[in-house]
Amino acid sequence: MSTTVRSAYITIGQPLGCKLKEQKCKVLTSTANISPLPFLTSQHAGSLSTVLTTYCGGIDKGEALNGVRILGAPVGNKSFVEQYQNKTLQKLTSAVSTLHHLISDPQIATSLFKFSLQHYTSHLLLTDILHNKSTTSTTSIHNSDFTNTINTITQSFIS
Amino acid sequence: MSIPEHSWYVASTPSGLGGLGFDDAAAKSIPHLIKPLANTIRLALHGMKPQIVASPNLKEPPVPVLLLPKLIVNSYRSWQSSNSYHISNLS
Repeated sequence: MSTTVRSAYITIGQPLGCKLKEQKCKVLTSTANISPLPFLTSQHAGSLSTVLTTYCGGIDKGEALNGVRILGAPVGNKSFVEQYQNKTLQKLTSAVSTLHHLISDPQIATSLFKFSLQHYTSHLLLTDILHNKSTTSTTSIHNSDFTNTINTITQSFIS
Repeated sequence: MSIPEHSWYVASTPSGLGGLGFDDAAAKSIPHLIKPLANTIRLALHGMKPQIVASPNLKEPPVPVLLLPKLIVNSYRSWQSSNSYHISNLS
């Protein structure tokens, strides 16, 4: 089955510009940091191992046990998501600091912040709602550590 | 570092309404969840209409609607509400 998919991918996908990058291919087998491979039947374990070896550069490299990112959005357990959110917030803070140091014109800096840096975290807001409860009872506002930190970064930029 | 509440209100009000247009992450989170979810439900239940650019001299060809397999459609059927179609069409 996996051989058929792989050959179809090569014959149909490659002429259209679709190339499989082994280092980017992951199979999310668990979100509890435990591989289910030893608990599977030999047939299923064999199929999974073949897929991991063929598409993902090996069992160790290709098997994700906590989470994966799909189009930039983290999908996995809470600590995986939080870790990714924190990493993104650190990058945003560093980018804002660089913006302050490099650009003296406030209008240009504001435009860059509004049209570029501000969208750095927007795709993570959806994930945040799914993983963190809002601290307010208002249904139209989602207050969490993540959204509060983003707002603090924005406010520190303005001030 | 935080700014006074009224300043943040002005800063986070859209430019079209007289504010500075900075994003308020807490206020934007819910639309970020609802919009794609409603869009997914609409596409799953009503199908996808691909955009076909016709030549101005030719009559516009009928656009086929691509329907998803029933297995996928059924998993979204219980999510449908009376206004999910309209929410996903909001800009």
